[in-house]
Amino acid sequence: MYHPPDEPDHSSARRWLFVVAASLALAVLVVLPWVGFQRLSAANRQTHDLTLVLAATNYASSSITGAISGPVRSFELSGRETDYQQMIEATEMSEDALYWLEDAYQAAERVGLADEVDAYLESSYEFLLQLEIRANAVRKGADPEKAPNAGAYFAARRAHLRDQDYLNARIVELGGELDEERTRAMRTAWVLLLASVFVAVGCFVLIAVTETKRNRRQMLVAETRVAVAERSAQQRAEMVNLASHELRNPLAVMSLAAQMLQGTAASGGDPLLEQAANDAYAAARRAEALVAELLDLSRLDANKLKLVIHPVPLDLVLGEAVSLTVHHLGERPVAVTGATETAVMADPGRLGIILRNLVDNAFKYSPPGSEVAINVTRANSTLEVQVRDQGPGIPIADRERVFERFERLSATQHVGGIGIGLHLSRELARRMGGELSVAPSNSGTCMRLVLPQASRLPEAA
Amino acid sequence: MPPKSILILEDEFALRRLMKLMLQREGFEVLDAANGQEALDLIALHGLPNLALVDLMMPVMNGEEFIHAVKANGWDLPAIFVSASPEAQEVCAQLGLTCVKKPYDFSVLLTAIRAELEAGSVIA
Repeated sequence: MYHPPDEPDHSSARRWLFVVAASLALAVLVVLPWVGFQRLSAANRQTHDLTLVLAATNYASSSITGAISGPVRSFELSGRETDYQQMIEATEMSEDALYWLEDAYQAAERVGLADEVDAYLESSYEFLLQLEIRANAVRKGADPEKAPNAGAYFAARRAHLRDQDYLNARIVELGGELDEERTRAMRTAWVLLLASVFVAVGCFVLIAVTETKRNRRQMLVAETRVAVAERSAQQRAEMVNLASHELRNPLAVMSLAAQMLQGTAASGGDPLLEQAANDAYAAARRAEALVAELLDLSRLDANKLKLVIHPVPLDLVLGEAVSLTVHHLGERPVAVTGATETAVMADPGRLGIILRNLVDNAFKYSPPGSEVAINVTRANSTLEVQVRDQGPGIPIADRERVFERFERLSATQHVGGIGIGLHLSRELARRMGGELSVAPSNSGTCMRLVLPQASRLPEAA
Repeated sequence: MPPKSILILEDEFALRRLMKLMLQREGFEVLDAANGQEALDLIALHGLPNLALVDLMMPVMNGEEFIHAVKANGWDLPAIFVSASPEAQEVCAQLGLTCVKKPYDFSVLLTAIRAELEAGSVIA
């Protein structure tokens, strides 16, 4: 019979794989965008620094240019003291503006304009110094064009203008580069973000697909196993049906033949032959009963057990059970007391199996010749049958175990039987709406069978 | 009064022979067939019996098919199913026939036969 192979149990490894994959996906989801936006952030910071440098440079340039074109020119033309003072103020303001640029020096360093700013500062300070010297000379009455530092002044002025133009050009150039860098950084940041999302989603999709495939495989294996089990149960049921027919026919022959012999022996007055015929008939009945039990057990397994429940006179079935047991295991005192002339709701054949098992066990597991007591009591809507023997009893720890299939207590291994009687009897009792249990007992074993009481006795046939 | 006739349909030879002997001892006239088709052939040859004892599981033509053939021919034939098959009870219930489970007490079978002959339960 085909059994699909078991999947190796990789649940622990799979769990770790899932944890690692999930962690990787999360890490990618976090790290890649962070890297991208860090670059953008750096570009933004540089742009901010450049803006600062530009602003400081513009302020310084405009101050110096303003000073030259305004107060300095006025003074050089008028020579008046008031113009001189205004010129001094303007140059001092220019110096203050240069201090602003000095303050922005670190920003200039960060954007790589330190040298240019250095040069511009140096040349600007030099120019302002020469401007002051020239202004002092003019204040003393000298011609501005013929001031003692005219050469130095013009050189300083050219240097200042040159450095200013160069610095501005570098600022513009750098501004363009930073714009491009920001654009690139933005693009990269978004790409990395999308990539991380795809990677993360991809990881989860992969895990989901893998798990789904695995689950589908497991479902397929489970479905195949179920199908195999159902087919096997079907085959067993068919075999049981066939066995039932094949076994019962020979038993029917034996039973009829024994009955024929019984009649012949009785009319011929041969007690020995009559006893032999009786024994053969009882043996055939007993074999048939065992076959019925085995077949019922198989039907139970295949979930194909059908009971036909109707009012059944208890005394008839109980009497037959006792009679069969006596025939098989020998005479002994059997005391039947209580409300035996009552009907129970039961399948008659299966009730016979239960009672026969209980009486059989009472005979088998108690000393030969000891009394077996059967008592029937009514309780509301149920009927209770107690079968009590004088054997060693069943230990409390084993009182449920005895109902397990093929279970034989160690103390009773020497007694014949295969261990299905009580298991089957309990199942049958339950399916008839009743229960079978081991009742508490001071001595011996007391089996308690409870069944629904019939409201009326069945009509006579 | 002529004895009542019984037709036994049973594929198990030993059982068929025993049933025939025991029924003859009880004063019945007995014909026997190993399957439904043989039984139909016997009916064609000897006419309808008073009662048929029908096993369910037989080769060639089983008991249920035999009953349907009887119905199809419109014959008035009381019948009792005698079967070891677990399905027999269901089939009996569906066909409205008495069922005696194998192995049986001969006295039980005899009682059922006499009751059917008196009541004349017919395959409707």
